[in-house]
Amino acid sequence: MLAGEFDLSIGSVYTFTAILMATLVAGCVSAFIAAPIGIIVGILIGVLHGLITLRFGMPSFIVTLGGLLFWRGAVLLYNGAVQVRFDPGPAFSGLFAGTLFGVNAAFYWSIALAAAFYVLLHNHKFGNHVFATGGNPAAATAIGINTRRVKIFAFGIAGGMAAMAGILATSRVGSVQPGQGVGLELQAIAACVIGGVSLQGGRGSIIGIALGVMLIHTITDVLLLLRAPGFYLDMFIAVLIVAAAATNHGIERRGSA
Amino acid sequence: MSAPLIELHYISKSFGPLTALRSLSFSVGQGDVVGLLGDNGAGKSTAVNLISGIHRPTSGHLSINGQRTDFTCRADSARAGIETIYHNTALVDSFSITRNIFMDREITSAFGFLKQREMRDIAMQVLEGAVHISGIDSPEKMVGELSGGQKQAVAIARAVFFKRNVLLPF
Repeated sequence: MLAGEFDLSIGSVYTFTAILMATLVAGCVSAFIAAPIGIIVGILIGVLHGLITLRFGMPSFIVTLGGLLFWRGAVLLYNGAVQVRFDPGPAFSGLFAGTLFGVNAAFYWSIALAAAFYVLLHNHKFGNHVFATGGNPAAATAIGINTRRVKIFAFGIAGGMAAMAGILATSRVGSVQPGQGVGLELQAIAACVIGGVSLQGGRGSIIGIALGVMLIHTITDVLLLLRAPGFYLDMFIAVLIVAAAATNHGIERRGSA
Repeated sequence: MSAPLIELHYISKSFGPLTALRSLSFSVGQGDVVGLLGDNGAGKSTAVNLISGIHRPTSGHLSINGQRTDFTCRADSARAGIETIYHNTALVDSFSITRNIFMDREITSAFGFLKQREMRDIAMQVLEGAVHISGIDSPEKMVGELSGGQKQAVAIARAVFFKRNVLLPF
């Protein structure tokens, strides 16, 4: 989103790469080999979406909507509508699903990845180019930034991180289901918008996104604890996306006035 | 007498059946300030885009410092010291002045990490020395908060700092 493009396929990529990893492990491949394969496949899927978007000059919204459906179907084609158990061994489980001081490893991974992306986006040349590409692609291109390459990298990172999320979730639960990850892309967009990321690209921060994620999950947990029906959550996320987008849009308009 | 900085030799440019420029020749010397005037559709933008390397001439050629040159992209003209300052597309509004000045020319460590303090200090010097822009007190100000004239001044300051020989405000 920061580079000015959307990726709606991450929920499907998350499931596809998790199923791929779990079936490889079930076929006696070490989880330490299967997990990187899953991440590489996620990156390649993201790059493919980026290449199609840029090659044909299409909105990424449409290309990745196609990706969402395609990779959801690919999950069923690859392994059918069956749950896959994931039993990677104690070392892998400890690293991705263990606990330290009573806190799950997924939390530490999230913090570490958020910190790494904070540095990459806010303190590295690449991040500068991502913001420039999203903020004003014409100016970025005119000054010599290869905006196509930046966008393809961004798509690759989105795919790779969707796969990483799949690994963390699958390690924690110990199995993966074909229906997993549905609606994840909307939650991701909601977290970004709540965190102050501009829908046009070029504005936003990792800290804002992390806070957006925490807010969504806190309210989700509260709704679950209140035993509210599942559709409350969907309605809540929908309202949150629209309200946050309207607020962001208002702030941007006031800023440019 | 030294060769002109830029010289256009009988340049023509066609886009399919449309001839945008026909046999255009002129030269610009060191220190010259030249204005390109003409009606809508006269070919001013095409001429600037040819000098910037965005378009390639259909016939004729361009010389820089007396040397025949064939720009294939904008980076070629930038290497030759030509900076094109587009009216609306020169800067990123969501960036600070510092980040705009150093866009794609960031001062970085060996691994590409930004040396932010160094860039900020240089940006301050540029704003205080190279081009005086009234109303700007900090290089950390967002460009989106500047007026149109201030934005163009920042773009010119950037070009002056990177020692461009030719500025094409557009």
